[in-house]
Amino acid sequence: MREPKLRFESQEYADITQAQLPACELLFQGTDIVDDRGAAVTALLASSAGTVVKLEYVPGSSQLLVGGKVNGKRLLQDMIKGVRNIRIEATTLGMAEIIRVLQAADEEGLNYVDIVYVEPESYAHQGPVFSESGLLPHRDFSLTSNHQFKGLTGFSHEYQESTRAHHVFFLGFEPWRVEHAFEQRDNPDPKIYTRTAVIGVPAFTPGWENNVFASHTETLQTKGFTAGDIRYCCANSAREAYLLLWDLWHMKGDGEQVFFVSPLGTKPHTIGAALFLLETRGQDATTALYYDHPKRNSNRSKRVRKWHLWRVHLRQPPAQPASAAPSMVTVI
Amino acid sequence: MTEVQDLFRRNRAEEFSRDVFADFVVPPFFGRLPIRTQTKALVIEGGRGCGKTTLLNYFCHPTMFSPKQPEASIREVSYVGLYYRADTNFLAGLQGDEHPDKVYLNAFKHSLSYNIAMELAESLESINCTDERRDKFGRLESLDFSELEEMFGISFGRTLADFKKSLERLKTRLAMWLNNPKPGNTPDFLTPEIFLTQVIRLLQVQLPYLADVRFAVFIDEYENLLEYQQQYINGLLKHGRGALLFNIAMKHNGFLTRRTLTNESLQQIHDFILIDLEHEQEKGFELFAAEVMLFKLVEGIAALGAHVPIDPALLRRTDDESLRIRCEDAQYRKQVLNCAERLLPKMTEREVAVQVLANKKLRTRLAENIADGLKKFSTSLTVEDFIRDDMPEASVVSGCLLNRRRETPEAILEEMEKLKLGELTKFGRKSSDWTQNNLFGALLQIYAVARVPCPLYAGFDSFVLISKGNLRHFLELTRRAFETIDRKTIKDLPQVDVEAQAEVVRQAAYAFLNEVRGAGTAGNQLYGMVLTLGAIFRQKQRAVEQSEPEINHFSVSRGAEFSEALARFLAEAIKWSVLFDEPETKEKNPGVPTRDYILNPIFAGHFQISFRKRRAIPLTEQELMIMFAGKLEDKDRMVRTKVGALNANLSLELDLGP
Repeated sequence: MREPKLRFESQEYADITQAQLPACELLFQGTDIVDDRGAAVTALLASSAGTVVKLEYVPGSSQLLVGGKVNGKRLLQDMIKGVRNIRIEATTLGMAEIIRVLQAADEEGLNYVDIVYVEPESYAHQGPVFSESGLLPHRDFSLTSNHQFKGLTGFSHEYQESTRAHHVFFLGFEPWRVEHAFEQRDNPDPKIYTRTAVIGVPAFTPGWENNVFASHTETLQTKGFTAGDIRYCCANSAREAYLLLWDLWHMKGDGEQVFFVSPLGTKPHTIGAALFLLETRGQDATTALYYDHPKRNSNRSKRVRKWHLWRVHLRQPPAQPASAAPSMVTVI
Repeated sequence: MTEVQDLFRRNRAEEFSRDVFADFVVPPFFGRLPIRTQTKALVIEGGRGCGKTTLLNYFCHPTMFSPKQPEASIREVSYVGLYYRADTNFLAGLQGDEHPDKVYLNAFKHSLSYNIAMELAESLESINCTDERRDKFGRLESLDFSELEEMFGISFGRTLADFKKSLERLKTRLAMWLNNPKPGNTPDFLTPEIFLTQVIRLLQVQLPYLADVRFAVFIDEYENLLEYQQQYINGLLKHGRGALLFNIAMKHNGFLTRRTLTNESLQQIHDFILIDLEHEQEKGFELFAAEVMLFKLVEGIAALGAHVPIDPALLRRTDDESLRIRCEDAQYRKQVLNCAERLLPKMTEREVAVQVLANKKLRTRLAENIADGLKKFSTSLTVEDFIRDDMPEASVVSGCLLNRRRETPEAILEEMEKLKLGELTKFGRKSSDWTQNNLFGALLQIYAVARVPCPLYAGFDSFVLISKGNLRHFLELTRRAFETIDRKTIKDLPQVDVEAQAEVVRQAAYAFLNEVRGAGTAGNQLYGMVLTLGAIFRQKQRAVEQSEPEINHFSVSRGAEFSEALARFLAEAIKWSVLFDEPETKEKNPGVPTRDYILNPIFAGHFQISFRKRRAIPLTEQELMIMFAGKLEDKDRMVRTKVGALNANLSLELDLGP
């Protein structure tokens, strides 16, 4: 089994200006602006890029639309050919779009990709806070809709009842996504289908981890998770999520079983999962994505808390940062 | 040793084994199922938890040829069920712009071929899983699959073990090609009709005991297949014949299309027989639920067998006589139901009314209702005049009658006096029976407002009504109820406390409500609809006058066809058993066709509303769309308008939704 090879540089800002952003030739962003941070990041990044490309993955037809056009995978590759630096605006993009850009960047031999992510000040509290009967929880969030677990070509593996597997779930604020995952798998036998839950600790802000614990307690209990099946990983670190998956894969993965990953938690965890899946494709110990491609709800979050800039080096030796690139604080 | 609290927890073997023989209670409608005698395709339809997959497992080879089956019952091999559960996550990825549509279709057919062939191979092992059967049938060691290579250009080896390994390799190769297609690594695709037919022919030649066999494939989770995949399967249903038949199992409204790939149409009766499991099950559900509960009790704690009027062996038998005894013997039925009622006792409405007067909190609530009503009149009568310990039912009902203002306090009191003297009174006369029409709703109102679990939710009968033919719901209620039993109190049969049952119904309702969000792509919208609808029913149920008690469903005019969006939401709600649709029971607007939609009574405990189908409210298409997909403020306004409390300071449980 191989070792993780990607290198990360990271920088974070409470506020950011145009001057602090390295320029890029291509910027990839989502089609929908659903909250304050999406609007803020889109406005800021637009002028830092030579070309802005809007991406949308349509789960119903399994198509990636690039600037509204089909045949997205091929278009992406054509676009990236010959380009030196690209930026992924991960706040407005979903798992499928992020992994497709990373895949194209990797296949076109780019040395590195830049990724931007913006944390919100708060998530919209959707629940019945004033519940008269007090029966509904006060940690009820409704951040996404339209969930349907659908394989993504290139990262999918067939499952049958007898399939031996290990499944890693990154948890967020919406426990029904995990429930739905198990439902669609018809509650597999934990003896041959082992599982790990990953919770974002420390959370974006102290206390938010309680939203994950409280809302998932019953699900974790009924699905047979034990204390040893729960791991923690900094909620805003793509690198930690990536390395944790490598650790788990080294421990649990083998040629006889499939290693499924469901990034249902924070976006940094999703980015870490995308990088891991990309790097481990085609190995003897199979890895696969198991994902529900949610639609992000309008006004799901409020304001902006923190900006993250990551540079992920896909090749060795690391490319020299472009002259306009910020000096990254952490170099791993 | 199994404790009584653990009886209804599913053990590992029960939950994950495909051999369900030991735990399967043959449903009373079994004799009507044309499964083993099928001559055309079967479409088995039923919601989540109705027992569909367990029933399929029962007909498939691990159970039909279980080592637990009496050897004498397996004299020949004439029908072998093969189960295929579509991995919808994987199959849904077989589309997109990376390959032409035809290639995805071929990949789908290929996946079906090796998966069903694997089932076929494993069925041979099930058939020969005991020494006795290896003597009777056997010959697996002499099987030779090598001729398949000549036909399909793929080596399947010689032995059964080689054959199975080859099928595994095909699966891996398909995944590798899909994940990383390169020129030259495209697999040689198999087609089920041709490949499986050839495998069966080969087996029939080499294993004479399979000469007259029919292999019946049951494709589960059909509703989650892509449209082209359904079209292909529809063709298999339409043209399945000879030794290989195809069947499907799905939730309600599972057909995306009835067309085949060659644009033929799949016709019910002509091409397939529809089995609606919930419909079949609901007819005899009361007895079946009681039998399953008692079966689990006796199987878990054998010592209880002496106190329970069922014979587990009888419940496992499928012969006509055994089913006749269970379905037609009135004495048997009475004993079984009585026993179930002993385990899950109930309180009569009168007993609950007595409890209202005996409980300080509840009595105070009733007194407040009566006081509110009296304020609407100029009268010298007092609350005490209407709370009469010798007339608990009339006392409770008087609380809502006074608030309706149709009868004066004096008139109501006069009727109470007549009742006391045993005379004919409006509290007991059939045509306007105040007690019969109002007591259940009035009791629910008092308990809901006082926030005390209402005993009307308790009792075997109530559990049956709340489950509405869904065995999973019934068993979950029972599991939670049995977990509350204090072991010290058990003498012969365990008995669940009435209040504990009522609380369990509330807790289970909440758990099932939370599951709704995971109900398919529209899960959040369905959840929002249930909360909005539940909020309306809940507020109506809490209205002190109870002028229309027990509202728990709605009717909608079908003057025009529903919009596409609403039709889709309603279809999803029915598919996931959040709503049930029925023709309207009472035609309120002659000439205007309407349909009733009933909120699944499993949610009743959460909203503290009635689980009995009694009264409906009319809703418009527009209102329904708000419930499914409206903004929170629109939902809030609609609920307030519907309950006549636009400006009241209500706290409604609503979800913002997307």
